[in-house]
Amino acid sequence: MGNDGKISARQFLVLLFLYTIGTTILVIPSGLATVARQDAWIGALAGVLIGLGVAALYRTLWGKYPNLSFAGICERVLGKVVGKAVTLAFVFYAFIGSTTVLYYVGNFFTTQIMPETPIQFINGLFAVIVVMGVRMGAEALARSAEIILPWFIGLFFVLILSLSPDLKIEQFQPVMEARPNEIIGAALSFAGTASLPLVFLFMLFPRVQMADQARKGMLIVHVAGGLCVFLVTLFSIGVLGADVTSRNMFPSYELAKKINIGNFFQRIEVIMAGLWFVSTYYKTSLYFYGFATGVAEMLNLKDYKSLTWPMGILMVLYSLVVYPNVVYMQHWDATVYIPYILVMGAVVPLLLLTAGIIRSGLPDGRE
Amino acid sequence: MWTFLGIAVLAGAITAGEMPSLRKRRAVKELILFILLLVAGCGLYIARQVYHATIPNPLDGIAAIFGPLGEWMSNSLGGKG
Repeated sequence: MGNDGKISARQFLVLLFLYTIGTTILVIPSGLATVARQDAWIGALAGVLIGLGVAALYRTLWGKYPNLSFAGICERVLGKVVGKAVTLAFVFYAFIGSTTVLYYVGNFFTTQIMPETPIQFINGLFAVIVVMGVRMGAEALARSAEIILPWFIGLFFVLILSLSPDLKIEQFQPVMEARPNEIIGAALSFAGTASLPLVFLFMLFPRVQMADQARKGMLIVHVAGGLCVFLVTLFSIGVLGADVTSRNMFPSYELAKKINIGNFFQRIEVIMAGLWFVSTYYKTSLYFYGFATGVAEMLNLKDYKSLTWPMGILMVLYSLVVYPNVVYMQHWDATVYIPYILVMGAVVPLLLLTAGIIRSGLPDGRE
Repeated sequence: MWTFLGIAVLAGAITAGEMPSLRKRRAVKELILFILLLVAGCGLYIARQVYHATIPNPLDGIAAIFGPLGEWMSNSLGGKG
C-alpha cells in the first residue's frame, strides 16, 4: 500500500472538481426536473448548500485523522472487528458505485451514439482504461486530471456561452411553484450524486501532500463543481424547458444538440460529450480505486495492483447485471439510492467523527 | 462460443501478465485472492453471457434493506420515481 505515490494539494483539488461533476452533470438535471419541475435549479442550489455541509464534515474527519484512509479510520475508531465490517460495507458500495457508473457509460453510448454496438464491448473498453489508470496509481490519475482540466473547462465554457442566447426566461416561470419538501427532495438527490460519494476520496486522502492546503481549498472547489452542475441544470430548464428535461434521460446531451450559431457552428454534441467522458472517467476510476485499495487494506495485502484486472472483469460483468433495464434504474436511483448513500456517506462518517471525538476525549483511550 | 474463447484468452493474458511478479515476490495472499477473483469473474461472466444464468443482483439486496425507507422518503419529499 505504501508505493502508490504522492499527489499534490492542487492535483487533489482537480480530482475533487472532476469527481464532483462526475455523472451528475449527465443525469441529475432530469431527476431534478422530475421532482421540482421548473424550480429544478433551486433544488440544485439547495443541493450545493447540502454539499457544502457534507464536504465540511469530511474535511473535519480528514483533519482529525490526516494519515489514515477510510478503512484505517474505521479500524482505529471502531476496533478491529466492527471496523472491518464497516469497511466491507464501504468496499461493497465502492464496487456497486463503479458498476453503476459503468452502466451509465454503456447506456449513454448505446442509446445516443453507437446503437448497434453491444453494451458489453463499450463497458469493457471503458473498463480497460479505468483499470489502466488505477493500476498506475493515484499519482498518474491525478497528473492526468491536471492535464485534462483545461480542456474540460474550455468545453464547458463553449457549452454555456453558445447556449446563453437561447435562454428563455418564461421557462422558469412561475418561480417557486414547487413545495419546500420537493425542493428538499431534489436537493437530496443532487447531494447524493454529487457530494456524498466524496466519502470514497478518503482512500486518497493519505496520499495528499501538504494536506492543509488541500483542506483549505476543498470546500470552495467542491462548491465550484456543484455550481457547474447547477449551471447545466439551469440551462436545461431555460433552453429545453422543464417538461423535455424531465422526460430526457440525458438532458445535457440534448442541450448540446441545441447549440447552433448562425446555422454554421452546430452539431457539436459529440465533442461536448467529451465533457462527461472526462468527468465520468474520473468518477469510475476513483470508485474503482476505492474498491481495489479498500479490499487490499481490509485484507492487509501489500499491494492492490495485481488484483485490478480480475476486479475489472467483475466490474464489467456486474455493470451488465446491476440495472436490468432503465425503468429499474430510474426507480432504484430515485428511491433506494438516496437513503443508502445517506447512511454510507453521512451517517457513518458522522458516527466515526463522534466516536473519534469521544474516544480521544477520554484520558485512557486505547490508541 | 466467441465469448467463451475471448474470456479464456483474456484470462490467460492476465495470468501471464501477473503471475511471474506475484510468484517472484512470494505474495501468497495476493496470489490466492488473484486466482479467486479471476475464476469468479470469468466463471460468472461465462455463466451469464454464454449460459444465460441469472446472477443475483446486489441492488435487489440493497433495495430489500433501504427500499421501504426510500419509498417513504420519496413519497414525503415529492419524488415520483
